[in-house]
Amino acid sequence: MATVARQDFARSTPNRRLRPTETTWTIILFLLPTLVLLGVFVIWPIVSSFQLSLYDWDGLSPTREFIGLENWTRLRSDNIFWKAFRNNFTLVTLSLAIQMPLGVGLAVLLEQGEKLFIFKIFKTVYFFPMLMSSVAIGILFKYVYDPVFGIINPALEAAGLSSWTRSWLGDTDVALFSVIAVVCWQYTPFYMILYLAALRGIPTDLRDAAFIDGAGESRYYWSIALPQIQGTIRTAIVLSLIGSLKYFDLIWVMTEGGPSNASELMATYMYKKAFPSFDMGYGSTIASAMFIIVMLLSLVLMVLTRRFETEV
Amino acid sequence: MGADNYKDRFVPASLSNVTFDEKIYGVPVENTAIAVIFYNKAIFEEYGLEPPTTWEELLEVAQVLTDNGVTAFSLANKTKWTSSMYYMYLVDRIAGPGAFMNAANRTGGSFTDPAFVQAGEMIQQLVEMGAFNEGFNGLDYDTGQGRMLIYAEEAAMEIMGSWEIGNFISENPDFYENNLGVLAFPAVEGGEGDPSNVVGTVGDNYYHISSTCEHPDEAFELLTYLIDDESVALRITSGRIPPVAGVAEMIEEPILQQVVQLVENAESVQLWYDQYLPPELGEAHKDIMQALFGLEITPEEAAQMHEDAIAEYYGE
Repeated sequence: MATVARQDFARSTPNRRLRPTETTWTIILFLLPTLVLLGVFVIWPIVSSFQLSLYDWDGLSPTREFIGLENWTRLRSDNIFWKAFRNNFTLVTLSLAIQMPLGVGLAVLLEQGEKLFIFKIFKTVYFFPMLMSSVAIGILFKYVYDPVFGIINPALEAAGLSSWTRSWLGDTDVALFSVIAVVCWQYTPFYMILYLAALRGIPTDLRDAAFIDGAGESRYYWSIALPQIQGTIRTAIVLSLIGSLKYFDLIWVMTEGGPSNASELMATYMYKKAFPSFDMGYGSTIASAMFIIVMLLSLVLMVLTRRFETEV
Repeated sequence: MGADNYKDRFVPASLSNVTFDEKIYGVPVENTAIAVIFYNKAIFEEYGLEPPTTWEELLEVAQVLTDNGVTAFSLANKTKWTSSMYYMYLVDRIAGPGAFMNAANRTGGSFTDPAFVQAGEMIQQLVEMGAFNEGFNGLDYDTGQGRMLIYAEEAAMEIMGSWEIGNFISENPDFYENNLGVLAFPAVEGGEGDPSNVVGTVGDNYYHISSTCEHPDEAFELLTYLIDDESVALRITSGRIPPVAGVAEMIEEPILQQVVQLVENAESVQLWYDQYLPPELGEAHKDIMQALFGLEITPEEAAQMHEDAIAEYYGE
């Protein structure tokens, strides 16, 4: 059937072969709407924030003063920015170290337990955090972490671990980690679903062959399944890296980067400078610096993990 | 504003924030709000405490409360401006309102003046004696985490703007009617500031009309409805003090009445630092307050940071 159809098509346009230049123009024509949208809503804002970073501007007044690279030299010696940068790194590291293994683990667990009805419930339950809005989660956990009325401190005291109690969001040493715990709680289900889909995509004959060759469950996952889903893992790592580098929501709702910048991230610092402080020029500089940092690091990561690229 | 003596409707002080070159540029619509100490009368009674009128007495009260496992002051300081109230009052009591004005307007004052350092020391003394609730720097005023301590009787006092009365009325009318008391910020022994001074604002949420407006007269008439007699009455029932003349006679609630008295007797009203200062410096001030209360910086460092920020802002 297919061959016949193709012949019919060829016969209907006997002397109309598109020349290469014509094809190019057709392609451009069809891509144009997307290119315009991309240009207006993605590329232009990026270019324009780079441009704004060269000005001293409060974001409101009709005039702005060109100051060259002054904002950039200020950024270079801005301790708070570099602290935020380090905090972003802590977030990246902990997100990768916690969410990736936990996501794989939960996915394996769900695949294993699929035969039991009860696990189908768990699949939905595990996914709940992903369904809630970040602001709701932030407010919820603000109450969970409340030193007096929360859940954690009273629970620790009841368990006789009074020395472990902290003012989770008010202590500069632990505030960042308190929020990161919630970030992991929120995002692990996302990776779980991603990995579960990948595990499901592995052909069953591979699994059967492995068992015929005498592999156990653990051997199967370690030697067959993991290498099979490496492409997905790579994608997940890149997503997590980018997401962590430009992270904003929960930090903003739970600590606003405080106390005393202890949990400041690049994005929260950018917001504080650009809006409450009315320093749009410097805020744009931070945004541009973030863009460069995220771009470079994702490129480096993509190149480093190129050998794991497989289509699943 | 001049027509039909409309401006006489308002308390003169409420127009001072919007008067330039003897022209008035805005209509004050919302409340008069000053920071006061709210306290739980039942807790004070239980431990036989008298409302403090001097800083020494306040420290003694705080000590008794702390010894009995009651938090003296509830503070939710993720919000940052909440702690600034202590600082503003202490500076005002120690050196009078001129100290801040001269430092902020660069008219011969400096944030490194002894008053600012001393205020920082007095605050850190309170923090160190455990007068504030645990983890205050992580609690959010906007979600009521400070007031929860008051309602649960975990904390006995709170320094807050008088709008808090409205929150008390709507959130916990029982507490409001039976246990709520209001105090002026105590005097500091040997301080130059008049103990009648208050920190806050007489009238806020000013409404303005753009000079490019095509129908300024109609727009102005619309604005007058925002603060007509009906809305004044409604604001009073919800626990607010509209900035209109003769408001004291309209208020019957004893607590609000007390706040009005404090405003009327005040020698001067210091506007919130974070609103008086340009936004960038206001943000810097709030960050410094959080670090000062968190004992992350010394009072001297806090003073120096204020001074550096303002010097940099004005390009000195």
